[in-house]
Amino acid sequence: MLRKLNISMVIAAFSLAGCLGGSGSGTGTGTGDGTGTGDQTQTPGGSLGLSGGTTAGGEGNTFDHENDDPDPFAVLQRIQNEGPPEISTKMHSCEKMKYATVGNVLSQLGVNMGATGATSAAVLYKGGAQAMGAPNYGARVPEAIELTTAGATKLFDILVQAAPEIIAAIPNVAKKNGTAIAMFDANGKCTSDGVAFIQGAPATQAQVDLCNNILGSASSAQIGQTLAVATLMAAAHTCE
Amino acid sequence: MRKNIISKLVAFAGAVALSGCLGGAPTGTGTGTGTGTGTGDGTGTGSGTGTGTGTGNGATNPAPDPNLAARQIDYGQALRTAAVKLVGALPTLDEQAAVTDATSYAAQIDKYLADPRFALQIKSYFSDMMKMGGSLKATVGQNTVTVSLETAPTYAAELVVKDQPITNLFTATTNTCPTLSADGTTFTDAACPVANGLKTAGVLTDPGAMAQFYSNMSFRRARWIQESFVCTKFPAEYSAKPVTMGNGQYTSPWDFNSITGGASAPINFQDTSSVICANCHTTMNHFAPLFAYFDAAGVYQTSIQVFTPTPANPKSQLSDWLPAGQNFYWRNGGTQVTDITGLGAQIAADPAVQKCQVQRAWNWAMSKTDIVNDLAVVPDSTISDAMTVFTSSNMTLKPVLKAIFTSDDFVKF
Repeated sequence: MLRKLNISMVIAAFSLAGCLGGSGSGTGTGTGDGTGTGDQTQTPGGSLGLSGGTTAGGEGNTFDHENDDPDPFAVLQRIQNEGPPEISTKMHSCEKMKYATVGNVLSQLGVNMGATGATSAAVLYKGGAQAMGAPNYGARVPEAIELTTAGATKLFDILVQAAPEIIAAIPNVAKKNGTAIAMFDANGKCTSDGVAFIQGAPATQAQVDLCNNILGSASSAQIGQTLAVATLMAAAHTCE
Repeated sequence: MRKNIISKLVAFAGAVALSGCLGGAPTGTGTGTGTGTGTGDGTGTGSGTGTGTGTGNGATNPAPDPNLAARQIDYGQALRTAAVKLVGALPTLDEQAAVTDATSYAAQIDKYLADPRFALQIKSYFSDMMKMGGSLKATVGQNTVTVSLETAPTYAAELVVKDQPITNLFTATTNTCPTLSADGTTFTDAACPVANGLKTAGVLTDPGAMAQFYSNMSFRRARWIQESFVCTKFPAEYSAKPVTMGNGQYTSPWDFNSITGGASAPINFQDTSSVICANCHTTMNHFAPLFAYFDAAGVYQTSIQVFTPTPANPKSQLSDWLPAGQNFYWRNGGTQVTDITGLGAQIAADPAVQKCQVQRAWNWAMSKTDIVNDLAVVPDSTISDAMTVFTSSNMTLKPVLKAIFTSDDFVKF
């Protein structure tokens, strides 16, 4: 009898949990023949089946809300790092380059975006949409704003693969006052115009020097040129 | 002896002056009088007056932030960032060479804003803002239909490119489903399909938007409007006098009983045992039902098409949101509305909605994170100039973008 009663109580408890939405927890014990006593402990929010203190749903209820509010401590940390909004909003932040813009820039710099080689920049780019934070509007997800480790890695891989193509294409795609420019001069040194072309902004002497330092550090001239172009582009295009 | 006394008096006067300065004024002057006694080889009394001046760091004129002060104008970098955002490409060498000062920089910004690629970029901006792009397969009954998620962001882009008020997003009565050519050169106007007496109200009646944000009781549609166009999450309204209730505080200005609740209600929006549901739902429930007639494909029907998440998952009824006697409103204290057109007019007139457009544009230009999801708030002081441009240009966004991309803050790094 007692066993039967206990089973009934368990069923009743489950039924109750279903009605209430499931976040309450109950224990019941029964004594005697046909009567039982029990106590049910319900967390706050039980009448809607909501978890205590939040608006997340649970088993047995469909009142789920998205609880994707930013962590207040993360916001505090950001304010502490960046300063108050009155100051920080007046300064540029580092937004990752949009996925489509990366494609535009590669094309602008002379990369063949129709290439099909497995390790070509174009194929790496086309296969890197998710890693690089492209939007997924079907899931109501806009383009990511910040660069992730995976996204940065993918971007840098693409730039390394694209560098030889860019170097070769520059005389054809980069013009200044109608005159073609080169990435490297007759002595194999980086040109100011070449650096400006690949980064999209006038080159400083420090940037040209850095480019030349990379050339001098490589095991071969070709590798040095590839690394120099890829490195400068990675530095320039990490942020919009 | 006398000299001794006068020194003290001057010091006293100076202290008076300084203490005034420390109280918040950046500069100060003070005068003081006093008497003193001195001892020495005799006794004596004296009197004197003194004046003093002092300077201090006061709240009325704070010292410039060192980080802001350290920024330098760099038109080359500004041009690169502007080009990447406005036309999605790097500046050419000739464009770089042409920009040497504020005037030539501003001229290049004008060229970018007139470039066909800008149409594509600003459409992408609105796609991210609205979380819409591509297409969606929606199932209605036994049928699966493909719904375009392009029309709403395209319409918004067209408003910007053609210098139309951005508030048309909520009030336009036709041609709100345009298309844009792949090269960004041509917008082709088209009216969104309407049925069953629907009157077009900008993107509020866009089939793609209604399909994309279809949900129980049309709350996802309400949330989309709030977060996309007001730049804040719910709760959207706050009372000056919060009331302690249940497990929290009731902070909404609405009458607590103005929404459906109680033990017999399908959903008890007056529940207070976990969170105060009414803090958000007093606002939401007063306009979400207007969007309940769109089905999963975003087609307006003559009866409610959304469901109430209770056992058996029935179609919602108006009484699920609001008790008898309640009407539709955008905000507490606003004008009652009877349809989406009326709601759109209220939304367009909401100063928070107007400011949101400028705040989002600012964050975009300055590469900030999302104003809603990341709480990347933009203080009024930061966008005051841009807001002035916005209101003086009949709420068109292109002049605002020009103002932002040529602002001191944008060209300094």
